[in-house]
Amino acid sequence: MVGSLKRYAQLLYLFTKFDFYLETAYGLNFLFATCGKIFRVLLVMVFFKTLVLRVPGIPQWNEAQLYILAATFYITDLIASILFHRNLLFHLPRIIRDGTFDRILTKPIPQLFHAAFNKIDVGDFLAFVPFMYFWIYIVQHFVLSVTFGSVALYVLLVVNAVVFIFALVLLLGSTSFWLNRGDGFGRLVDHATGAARFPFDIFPEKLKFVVFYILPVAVLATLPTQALLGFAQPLYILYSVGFTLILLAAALVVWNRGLHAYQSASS
Amino acid sequence: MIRVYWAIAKMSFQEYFAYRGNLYFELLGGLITTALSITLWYALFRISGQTEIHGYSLDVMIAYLLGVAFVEGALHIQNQGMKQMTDIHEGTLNNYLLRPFSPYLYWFTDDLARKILMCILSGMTVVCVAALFSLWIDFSFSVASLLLFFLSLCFAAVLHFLLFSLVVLSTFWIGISWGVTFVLRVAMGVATGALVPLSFFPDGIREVIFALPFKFFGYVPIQIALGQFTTQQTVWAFGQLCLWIVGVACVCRMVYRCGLKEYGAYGG
Repeated sequence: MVGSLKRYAQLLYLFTKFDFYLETAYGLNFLFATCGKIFRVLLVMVFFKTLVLRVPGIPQWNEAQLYILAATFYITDLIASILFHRNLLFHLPRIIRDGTFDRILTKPIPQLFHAAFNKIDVGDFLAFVPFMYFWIYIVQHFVLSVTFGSVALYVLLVVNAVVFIFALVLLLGSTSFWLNRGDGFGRLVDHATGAARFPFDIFPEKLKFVVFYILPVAVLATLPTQALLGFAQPLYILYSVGFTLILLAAALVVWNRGLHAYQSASS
Repeated sequence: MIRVYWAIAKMSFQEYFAYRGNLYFELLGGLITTALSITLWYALFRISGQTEIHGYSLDVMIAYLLGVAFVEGALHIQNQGMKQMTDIHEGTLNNYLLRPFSPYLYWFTDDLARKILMCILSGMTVVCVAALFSLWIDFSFSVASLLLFFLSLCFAAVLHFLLFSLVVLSTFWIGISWGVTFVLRVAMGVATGALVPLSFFPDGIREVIFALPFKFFGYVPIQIALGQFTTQQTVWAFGQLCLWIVGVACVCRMVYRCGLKEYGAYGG
């Protein structure tokens, strides 16, 4: 168990190293891309500051809570983006289409691990720096009544959110074994999950039902934020964890079937 | 000569239509975001009990968001400038330099064809969302303001191409330029007024944003369509737009010439 964990950690380190070499082959481009990623986080902060400045009080969501919601969404998004999001949603369909997926099949590494983590986005690591500042800003400027338990639950629910995204993109990425599709589909998923940065509590009831229960993108940011602030419903926490596990199981089934259906024929 | 570029435009149309599913998915994604943004603002107006937020009534805000969705769909295409970058990076530019047309006009024609196609598809998407929310909106546009809107959109499309093209020309020196275009796209994500109207931003930031040309890719055309600009402001906006186009075109020409001297033609 420990041995295989160590091996996976070594592989992750190697993937990160190789990607870093590849990215920095064009040093200036890497620098600009990294600046762009940091800049994007700063602009998110400006956007939320503007929203809070111009829009009168939103029930249940004061300024600090809105910032926490935004920070939670982008932390989840960033972790997924560094580790597997692009690999499964954009890179996998491409290598299945052009037949280079064969290379993954022939290597002595579990295929799912290789497909999901073979490109670790090093530039995104640096985008964590402004996020840290964002959290420091929140802690310094607002009085938050959080407990050790609520912080622990928050961390667990962020992990749950990351697993939810992983399961979702694995499920959708795996459909590439049957469907020949381009990047547009991935962007559609990005748009749908991007909605999670909004405080869903204020939405009309029917839409709220959809985002909380049918396609529960509320688990990405709203739920962890509610847990941190102490107004999450225990039953909904159980539902979200259960939903994530079922989604993950379904994604793994589709992935395995996809592997069997793979024809190794490029288009 | 025009026949050559018409042929290029036709080829570009065919190329983009070959991956129709891809286009529709992209548009559907935009539709989801627009529908959610409208629902969010509707909810904000409803729960705050206000009839106006920073000078915007609900009708005007929804019309603004629909306008933004249309302009975004038509102009802000993913992978903007990628063809030009690949041609320079991989050395395909060699082929164009030997042919009887300008590579620059080739890239422009290709970009324009794609924008026209996206404009039509984006228009259809926005009509669908507008129909969905028609109960909440009182659409009232004058013919003149709509004509001016489309005219400003045409000018904005040219400036949009030129700005991206200018940063992509850095490929001649730095090898790959997607990082630079990424910075530009991120800046545009906020500074076009796509997320909130630019007048919502705090004073210092708003002044910086208004000094940049990105406002022409969202905020300005929509203000013209909504009739929020006076005649004087509209004339001034068009004047600025023309100055930006001429200025950026001159810089592009200069940088392209310098770039060609630097170009190794060996590919990346």
